[in-house]
Amino acid sequence: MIRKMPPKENFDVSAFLSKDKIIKSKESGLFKGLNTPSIVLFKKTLFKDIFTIPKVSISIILMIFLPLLAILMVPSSFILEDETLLNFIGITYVEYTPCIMFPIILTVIGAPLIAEELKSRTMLTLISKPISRGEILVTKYLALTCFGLVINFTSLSLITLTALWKYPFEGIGEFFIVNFLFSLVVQFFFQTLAIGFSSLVRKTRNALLFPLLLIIITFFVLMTFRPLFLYMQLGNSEDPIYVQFQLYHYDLGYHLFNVYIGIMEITSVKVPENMMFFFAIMGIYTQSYNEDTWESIFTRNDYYSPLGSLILLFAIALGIMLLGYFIFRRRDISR
Amino acid sequence: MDNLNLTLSQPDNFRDAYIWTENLTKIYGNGKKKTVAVNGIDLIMTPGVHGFLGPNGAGKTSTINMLIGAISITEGVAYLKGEKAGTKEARKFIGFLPQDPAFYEKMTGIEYLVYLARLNSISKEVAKQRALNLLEFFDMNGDKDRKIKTYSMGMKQKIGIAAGLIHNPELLILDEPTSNLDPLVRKKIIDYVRKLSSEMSIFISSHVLSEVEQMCDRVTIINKGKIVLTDTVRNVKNWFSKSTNLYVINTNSNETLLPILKELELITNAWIDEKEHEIYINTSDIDQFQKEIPKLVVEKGLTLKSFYQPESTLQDVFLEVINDEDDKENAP
Repeated sequence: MIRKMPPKENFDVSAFLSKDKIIKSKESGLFKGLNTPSIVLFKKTLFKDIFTIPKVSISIILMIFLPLLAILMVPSSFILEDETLLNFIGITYVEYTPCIMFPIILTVIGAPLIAEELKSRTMLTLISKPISRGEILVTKYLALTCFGLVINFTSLSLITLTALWKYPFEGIGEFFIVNFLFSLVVQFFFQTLAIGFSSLVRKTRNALLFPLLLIIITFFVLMTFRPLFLYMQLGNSEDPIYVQFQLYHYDLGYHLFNVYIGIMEITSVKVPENMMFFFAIMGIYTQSYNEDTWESIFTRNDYYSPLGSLILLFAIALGIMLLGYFIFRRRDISR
Repeated sequence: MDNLNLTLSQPDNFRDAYIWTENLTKIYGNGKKKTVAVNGIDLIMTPGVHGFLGPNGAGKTSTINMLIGAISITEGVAYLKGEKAGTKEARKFIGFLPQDPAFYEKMTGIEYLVYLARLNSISKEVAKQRALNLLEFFDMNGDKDRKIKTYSMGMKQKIGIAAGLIHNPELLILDEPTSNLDPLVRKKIIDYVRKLSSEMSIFISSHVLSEVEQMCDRVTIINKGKIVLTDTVRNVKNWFSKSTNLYVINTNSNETLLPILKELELITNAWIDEKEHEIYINTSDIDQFQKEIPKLVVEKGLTLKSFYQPESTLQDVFLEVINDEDDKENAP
């Protein structure tokens, strides 16, 4: 081997290049025996990028703010004796926490996970290490899953415990179970979307833009206009626009709350009456009136079964994730 | 220029070479927007320090990015010590410093090195010890606990090279390691690379020729996506000197000798260098020239002070080779 320029100084270069120093994991604790690049990246993503004190605390505060306010502000004397927690706080909680705050938090935390590394070019260093792009994607996804589970469980627990402290509500357990299971579906859908878009696009702002737009359209714009489509008729059709044009196929809000009803059915939880009105606005029920008593009659719409909606949501999210994976796998990562 | 493509004695198969490519091609875009960045190169790197030279836009970074698997290969194959480029196995074997490297700026120097070591399955204790050793090697012990965002460009470059070394690679790939650095830091980086070259093989891309000359055993010159020359630095320079047939002669009266030389058939060109005041001569027949000229000087009653073939620099070769390629391309 030709060596033109021998080292000039006496520093022992070989001291840090000795091969016998590469030793496989001697980790302790939770990750004992696991020292693969994926685990290292998972720990870095979870504890350095996501699970920071400001991010966790702000997320939990945002998740619990409105439901907690509703619980604390209503005087105990206004609460009925056999009031269930689902009836008391159900709409406020479900509309605010799992449908608005949780998806926004998951998007804001999850969308930059891949896109930011692409933008800042640290991805070039990362992919020069013995870790595949698929592993990078899955690792980041799992880290976001852990974060979502923790803030979901913590915020729901805080709300439930505060409610229990405030008043001996009925059905504390059913409130927790139904909403936790529903939040899992919401989490799966939006975190998959966030990571999918994060790997689909190169810029963080674009990765944020698409999921946030979806949240705004579903839970703000459609909330306003859906009742119009549900009751307005066009031309000679007897069906409302929503049914005539089969808009429920494309209505994310409908599918999510169809799953919510499905969870209630599986857990044998009775839908509280005031939630019926909310579900009617979401297209789950059709509301009519008894002409004699003017009482509301809610008829369940059978556009989709809850399982059908769940499968559709999973298919959309997984489709975007897979598309993101294939594009990310083939993406040229350079300067 | 004739006989440009000098080749090394090549390894028997791709498993023996540190880098082995065949018809490696990278095309960006398609249709009218198609750009051929790398055009079917056959590159072989044996152990040692190998310079990869070329002007800006020649295809150096694209080639390196294909080798590490950052960009896809349009056509052809590339292997790193027998492992297909871009696979996890191939990446275990290399350390890499990208051009204008990016860092996790919120990490401290030591955190960054330990993190990258652990991405190579090195245990925490060993990673920390190796990081400390590397920081000492790069004279950065005092800055190990500072966040990378507070580092100067030179310090970042050093931490980038340290990051490439942290898992003890057999091959270190450096893409323009001295670009954007001031001369003092450049010199330091060159010194570090020279020290490291005694312990590992290094593949360096650069367009700073003097640096490559100082650091490398072998060199490959690439232009417009094609390899135009590859050999040892010494061979390249010797070959260039011979192929240009340039000699320098100095006597006590160069002005007297010059018209006499111009009369000779074997002299194709002769002139007095304004700065050195020596006669530069191009000859068509080296052997005849070497015999005749000293005799002629004595016959004319002059005193011969010096008579030698000037050593070419890599820069001379580079410019000649690149210009020659451009001339060929522009020829009708």
